Amino acid sequence: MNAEMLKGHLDNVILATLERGAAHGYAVIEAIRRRSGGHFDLPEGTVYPALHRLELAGLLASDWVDPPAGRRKRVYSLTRAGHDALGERRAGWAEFSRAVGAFLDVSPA
Amino acid sequence: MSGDYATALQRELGFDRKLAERAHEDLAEYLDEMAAAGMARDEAERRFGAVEDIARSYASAALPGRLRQTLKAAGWLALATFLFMRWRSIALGFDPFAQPTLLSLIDGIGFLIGAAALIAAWRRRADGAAMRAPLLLAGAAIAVSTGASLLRALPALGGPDGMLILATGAVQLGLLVWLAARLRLIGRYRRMA
Repeated sequence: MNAEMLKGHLDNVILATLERGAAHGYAVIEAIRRRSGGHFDLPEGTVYPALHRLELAGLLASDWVDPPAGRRKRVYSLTRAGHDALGERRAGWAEFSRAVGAFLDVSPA
Repeated sequence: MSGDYATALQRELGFDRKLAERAHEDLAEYLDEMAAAGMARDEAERRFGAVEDIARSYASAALPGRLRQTLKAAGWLALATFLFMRWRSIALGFDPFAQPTLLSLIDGIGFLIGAAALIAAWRRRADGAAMRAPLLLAGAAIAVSTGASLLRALPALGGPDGMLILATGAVQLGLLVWLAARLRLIGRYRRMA
């Protein structure tokens, strides 16, 4: 998928990824790659500023975690506002994809 | 961590120390993970993205929050301007019902324009980028109002209220300089983002 196409949806993709549980930055990148089947091709560093943006917007919270070995990591989790925002965005996306799908003659996944 | 890439990223974000530190921490975590996975540093940096693009993403992410902070600073400035203006007027015995002078008109109208612009900025707070123009207008209008207010009080500078005029004027000018610095910083964010 074109990186520009994904950029507009990156926040939603990150929120949905963290809905399954808290994760640190690189784990989010890996989860996105895995769940998209490798289709999302964007510079991996762009995920970190997006995490920062969502945190500043109050949709994510972060805590430092010291693993048994290695460098401490910043772990992100969804806040209540993040859960609410994801619910709203999910509903909006379903409506949008149905509408566009009607023109492009494809069924939404 | 790779010195060149990290240094370049820090340099791009040098106008905001906290943001540069955040980017540095994120990059360090990423490169550690990639090193643990056996990836060469050059390849890891390539996958992280072009320095300019990553710096732009950080600046874009931080801009709305910085604009909201600037809005708060401008709000405190407006409050201080109003309170100090009233304080000086009462202390110096300005008659509110007297025929307005050019300076008193500039003082009052400048403040009203500044307050209206602040309200406009606050109403646009959901769209960070749209807040900047009214914030600039608010800063300029309050600066004009402050200048006029201080000029009105200037003849009493040598009297018993001289210290009051100097102290309130210094605080107001300090707040104005602070707001101007924040607006200049916002300009850096916008040019980058």
